[in-house]
This record gives sequence, C-alpha cells and structure tokens, in this order.
Amino acid sequence: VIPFVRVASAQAPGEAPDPVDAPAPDRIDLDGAPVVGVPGLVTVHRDGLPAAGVTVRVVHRPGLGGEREAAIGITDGLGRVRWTPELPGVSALRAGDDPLWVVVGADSPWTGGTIGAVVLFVLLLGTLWFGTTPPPEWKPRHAPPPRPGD
Amino acid sequence: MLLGPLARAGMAPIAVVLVVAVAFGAPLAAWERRHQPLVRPVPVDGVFVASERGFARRAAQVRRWLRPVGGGTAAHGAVALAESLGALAVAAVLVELARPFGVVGLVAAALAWPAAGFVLARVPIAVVVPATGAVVLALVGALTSAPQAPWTLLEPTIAGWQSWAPGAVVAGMLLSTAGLGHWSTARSGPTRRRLAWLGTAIGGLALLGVTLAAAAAWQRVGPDGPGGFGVIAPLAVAFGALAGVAAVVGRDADNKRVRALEGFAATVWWAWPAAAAVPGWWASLLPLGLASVCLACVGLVRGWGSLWAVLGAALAVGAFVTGGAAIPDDAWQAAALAATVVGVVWRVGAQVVMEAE
Repeated sequence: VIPFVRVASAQAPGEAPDPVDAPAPDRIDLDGAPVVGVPGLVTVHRDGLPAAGVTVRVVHRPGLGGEREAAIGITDGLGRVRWTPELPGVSALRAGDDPLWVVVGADSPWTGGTIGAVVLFVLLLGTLWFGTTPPPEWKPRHAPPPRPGD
Repeated sequence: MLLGPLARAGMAPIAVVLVVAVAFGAPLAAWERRHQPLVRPVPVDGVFVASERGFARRAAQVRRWLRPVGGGTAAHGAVALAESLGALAVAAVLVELARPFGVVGLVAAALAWPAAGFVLARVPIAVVVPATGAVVLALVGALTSAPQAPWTLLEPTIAGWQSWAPGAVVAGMLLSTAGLGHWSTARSGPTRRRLAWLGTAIGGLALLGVTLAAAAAWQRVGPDGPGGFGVIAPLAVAFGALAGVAAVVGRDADNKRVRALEGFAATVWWAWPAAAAVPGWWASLLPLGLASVCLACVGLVRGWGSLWAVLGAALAVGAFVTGGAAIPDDAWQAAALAATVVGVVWRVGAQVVMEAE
C-alpha cells in the first residue's frame, strides 16, 4: 500500500487544478460518538475508497490555550485505526487537509470547567447572601436623652 | 472582549476576576463609600450615623489623623480618584462594546450618560433594574444555548498567565463599580453597609452567566462559527454596561449632572481622539490609579483593613508590572495617554481643593 504523497507538478502557482486529476477530499468517519476512555474506530476514505497507511492525528482544543496534538495511528488496509480518546471537549481529527471537528464526551460531567463554574456560583451566592443580610443592629452604649415631648 | 481570555485560559481568568472582586474590590468599595461622608457631609438626622457602627467616632479619628497631612486630603483624593477612574473605565467598556456598530453605536454610548444622569439616576433602584436584567438574560442565555458538557472553552489552563492575569486583576477590582456607585440615593436601609458585596455578587452572576452562555454557544457552533456568542449574551453585557453608567452617575445624591457630563466627555475621548490610547490606559494608568485608591484607603481604615488595603495596592502594582505597560511608540497615542493623566490629576485636584475648603 502506497500512502498518498503530494508531489510537485507543472501546475502554475494560483492556477486551478484540473478537476479530473484533482484528488477527492479525504473523508473521516467515526463509528459512534467519541467518549473519553471508550475505544472506537476512525475510518479514512480517499477517492471513495478506504485509504490505507494514512497517519491520523487528533488535536485537542484546537486554536485554544492548552492545545495538544497527538498521533492516533496509521490506518490499516480497510482504512481504519482504533482511537481511544484521552481528553474531552472539541477536537479535530486530521488525516489530510480538511479536519473533522468532533466533540469528545467526558466520562464524567465534572470536568475542570464545570467544577470551576459551580465553585464560583457558590461563592457568588454566598456573597449575595452576605450583601443582603442586614448587619447586626448597633445600639449606642449611652442612649441619648429623650427629647422633650417624647 | 470575553472570548479572547476564554480561548487563552478557559475559566481561569473569570475565576481570578471574581475572587479578586470579592476579596479586594468589594472591601475597597465599602471603605471608599463609608468615608465618602467625610468629604461630603450629609444631613445626619439620626439615620446615617446611627446605623453605622461607631461611624461618628471613627470619622472624628480620621479627621484628627489626617489633619497634619492636609486635613482629609487622602479621603478627598480617594473619593475623587475612585469617581474619575470609575467614569473612565465604564466609558472605555462602553466604547469597546459600541465600536462594532460604528458611529451610531458610539454616539448612542455617549448619550447613555446624559440619559442615565437625567433619567435613571433619579430613581434609587436605577442600577438594580439593568443589573438584574443582565443577570436574568445571561442565565437564560446560558441555559438555552444547548449546554452540552463538557464545555471546552471553560477548561482552565494557567499557561501564559502573564497575558491575562493583569487584566483579570484590574477587572476584578472594577467589578464593584455598582458597589462604588452606592446604588444611587440608597443612603439608608439595613443593608447599605454591604451594598458593595451585593453589587459585586450581582455583577459576578452576570459575568458568570455571560461566560457560560458564550461557552455553550461556542461549543454548539464550533471554532468556525459566527462568533459563537448568540444574541442574548451581548444584550446582557449591554445591560451590565448601562448598570455601570447608572452606578457611576448616581453614586451620590449631588452633582449627578456633572458626573454624567464627565462620563459623556470620557466616552467621546475614548471613541475618537484617544482611541489608540485605550490599551495603554487599561495596562498602565488604571492599575496605578487603583493602587493609589488602595493606598489612600490605608489611612482611612484600621487594623486588618489597612493590611488588606496594602495588599490590594500591591496586587494592582503587580498587575501594572506584569501587564507589560510601556510608553507607546506612537506619538499621538503617547500624547493622548499623557493628556488622560493630566485630565485625571486636574479633575482630582480640583475636587480636593473645592471640597476641602
């Protein structure tokens, strides 16, 4: 199996490629919704056929702080590679030029973001309670003398 | 304005904003507010003084302590500087929000000040209505944006904290603007000593709701979506800005029109002549100004409060140092920044002189 290799051609820069010779875009399929810790299959098709020997990579949090890229593996003769997601959230699967955006489900709803949101919410509720609670009533040590007529 | 920090560090900047707001912003606002009567005596009549624990005694002590150094100049300066910084900060946020809408948006933002000065600030609950609207809209937006755990945008990371931590510290100290605003004429009532915490909590809930709405919308549409902010979140932010305007204008029963005019001028200043100086203002002048307010409060509070004020000043100075503030290369931007300093100093000095007489 020979992996697809982009080679230089006589095509002038900026010139549109011949539609007959232009390769069809890669297509990446998943056998189900990805979830952290649950193995699944990633299938890569090229020109409508399973693409073997293609390196598939995943980018967690693409374009965001803490972005991480990792190699999933190389597709077998049926264009498949096994993938067990390690990190939840939006990720991009890359096997060619066009990535496939997927949302990896977490094994637990309590991720760092949701825990932080809950903790901050509790902090704000406490602050709201403190702000709406009347302070202890203050009584002067020496009561003022009664006014005439009281 | 919000998606940038969220994309860089997730929930971490929001957490810093809220913790600093509760720990430093609210006490700072409470101190400044508590000592405002020192420079602007109000009719006592048994209401204002009687509900403050030991206020009269402390006020007399503060006057006595400050007499050798100018007879309350620190108190005057803290109040005047807090007013000026509040107006400039809210005006800068308004300009940031309105700039995408072009000239019409900027003119509307400038006109929000006289509208608040002549309409909203006449009502004691003028701040409550838009602030509550912001909270409700933000929470509704968060709940209706198809929340789908995990929200990728919220995952906290501290990598590259130098790029967002200084701004988060400054924003946290400013979140108590509603508390600094004293909620218009709400001078009486059982909770007025804690209005700063109440204002901080309302502003924090609005900020948290808008954050969740933005994260949920981003998760739904993905990085290639049209901004991922939906419609409700910008409305909530606009309501929050309007609450800030009403709070700044209505922070005292007197001189509302003067403060409305000041906010109008600040908005026009940031919108056109000094548009290029806004980043420098956020990074340099505002942290230093907040540190000055904290230092002015050191002499006004006692005990642990003084230490806390010193810590707040150190935090603001740290934000200035790590924020990478520098004299702008562009001559016009540097001149605009210098003119802003001159304006603030002149405004604070004039108020101190007038009210100290």
